Amino acid sequence: MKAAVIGCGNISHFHIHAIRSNPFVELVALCDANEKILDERANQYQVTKRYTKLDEMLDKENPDALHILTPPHSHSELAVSAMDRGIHVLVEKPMTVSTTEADEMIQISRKKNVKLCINHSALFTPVVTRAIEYVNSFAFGSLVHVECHFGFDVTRVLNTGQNEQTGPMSWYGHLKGHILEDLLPHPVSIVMGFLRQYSNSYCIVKDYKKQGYADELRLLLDSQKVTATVSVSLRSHPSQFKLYLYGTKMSLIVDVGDMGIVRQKMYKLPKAVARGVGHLSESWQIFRNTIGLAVGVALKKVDNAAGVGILIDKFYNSLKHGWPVPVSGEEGKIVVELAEKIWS
Amino acid sequence: MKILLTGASGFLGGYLAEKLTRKKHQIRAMVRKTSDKSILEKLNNIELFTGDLRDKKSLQGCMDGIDAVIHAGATTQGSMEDFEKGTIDGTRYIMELAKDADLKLFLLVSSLVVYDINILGKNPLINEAFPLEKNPRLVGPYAYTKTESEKIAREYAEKYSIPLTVVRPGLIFGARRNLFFPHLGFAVAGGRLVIKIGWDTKVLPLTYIDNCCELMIKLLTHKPAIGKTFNIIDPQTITHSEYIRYWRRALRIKGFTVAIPFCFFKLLAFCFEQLNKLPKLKGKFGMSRYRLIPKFKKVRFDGSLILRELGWYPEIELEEALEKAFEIKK
Repeated sequence: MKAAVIGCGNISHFHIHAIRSNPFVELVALCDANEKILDERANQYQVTKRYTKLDEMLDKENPDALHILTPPHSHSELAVSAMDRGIHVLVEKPMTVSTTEADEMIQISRKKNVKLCINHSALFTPVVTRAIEYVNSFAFGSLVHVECHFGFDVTRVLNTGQNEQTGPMSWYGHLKGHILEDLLPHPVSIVMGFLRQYSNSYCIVKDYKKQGYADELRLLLDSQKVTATVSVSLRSHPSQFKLYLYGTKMSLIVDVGDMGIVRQKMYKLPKAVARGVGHLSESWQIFRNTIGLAVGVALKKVDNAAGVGILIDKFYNSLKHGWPVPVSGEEGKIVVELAEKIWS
Repeated sequence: MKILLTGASGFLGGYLAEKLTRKKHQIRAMVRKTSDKSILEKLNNIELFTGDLRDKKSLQGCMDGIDAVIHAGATTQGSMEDFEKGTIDGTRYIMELAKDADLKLFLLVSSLVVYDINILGKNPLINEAFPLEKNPRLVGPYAYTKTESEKIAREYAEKYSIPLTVVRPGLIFGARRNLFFPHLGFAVAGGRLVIKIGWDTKVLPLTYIDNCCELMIKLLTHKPAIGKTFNIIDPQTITHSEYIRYWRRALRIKGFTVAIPFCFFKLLAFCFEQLNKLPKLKGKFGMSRYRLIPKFKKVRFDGSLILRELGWYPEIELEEALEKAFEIKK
């Protein structure tokens, strides 16, 4: 299978690495409007075919799949153009910037019978997959509530050395919700993995630092049986990515960032004893997680972007076997819809 | 939709017939002369067709005016010859008729036993792309005949463009069934002693009858599923130990469970294999490691594909399903 990539920013490292790791896929070409970045990436990965225009790349290389890793406001046009030629597409998050564009992308994928997949990779992080397995276990009972907190250190993008013309700050301006809109898919995609759908949403967005863009977001989602809260914060430190899952028999604290899970169970013991046992159990689990992580790091088995690789493998598996994609256009649209509601 | 349902007097077939008639489908239910038809006879919109999958002549006319076939009929007990006649020959006869019928869908009910579990590594998550058992005869008559009937159905589908979809349900449970599965081990003295095979936390690949039927019925009208194969397992999981505890509590059976390491049974199977090699005892013992491993090895089955394909999630959660299944038993 032939794959091509458009957009050679930081995220392209993970995609190129995942494509190269898949024996069924061959990376045939790279494309970016910025020649300097294009050459840098192409040289780094020794890709000989390089283009600055998508149409030219698609005409000459005729790939089976295209990875669209450009800024979100350009996703729709590029995806529609590729799908119209019968090329499957994998689009970075957020899928696009409006539901109208999202609908157009979904429609063309149906019309042309090609796959449209959205890179909501946070849902495929191994620790989240393990959390899903716990939630689906009999011991967990039924899910009652999900809480997801995503803290982001904004200096990570402000101080990357990329200037206002080429770095992410240049295109955040195209998003009504600025940086928060770009971050929103991470926690929301995980939460939706548990909720699957929602009927009502309530949201608070604040620009506490008066910088001209929101720095705090709180979202409450209500589905038929489960509720969820999402919190995205640019001010809280240390930056954490945590998930709290409350069930009828057990609760889970999932540290998505530090890759650990702590189970909180019920103990049929006197209250004071149960507290002590609970604390001991949690301490033991944290200790085990720490040792496991340390061993993983020592053996170079810890991959911070494992979710991207897993999702990309699943995407190519879906092409190979004719299966549904891991994250459909409809699922991507849920996040776009929420963002549109919040920042309309 | 007018549907031919084979195996209609069986556990799955009976529930399917009930649900399909409730959804206003017209059913032609294939039953043998000796089958228990009591549940089917109470239903509306149902036509009982007396036929035997082992007898080609008796099937003549069963597909007249039919839009879709759900082939759930199979032999589940008897000798290898019985299994071959009922499942392999039966599938061939049905496919032979299907090639001349103008069907919208042929839904073949297969099983998870078709996977080649012997070649798999530790604790694998088995999805639909995993290979089929290469030596199904060695696993047992059920695995052999189910694997062969899948192959036959595929051959016919390819040759005669029959719109085939294959489903591989896990352990289907519901109120009308014995709820102690052989995979759990052995229940001795009315369940007061349960001998569980293995110490590890194996998961039962359960699917509740209502959820299983709902998925199959949805497949009838889901054209993109044609040509595909799906595992059917409920997303929620229960370990063998948890299930045995639930079973005891629900049926109020007091007693205890003894877990015996799997390696002990493998050793036992090895001894039987050696005994089988003796000229006087040749082939006398049915137990072998090849047969034991698929049934008791720690594996997990991935049932997510069909849910993503249909964009549907089972409405009945495991806890509720167990309550419903055990309620009648109580």
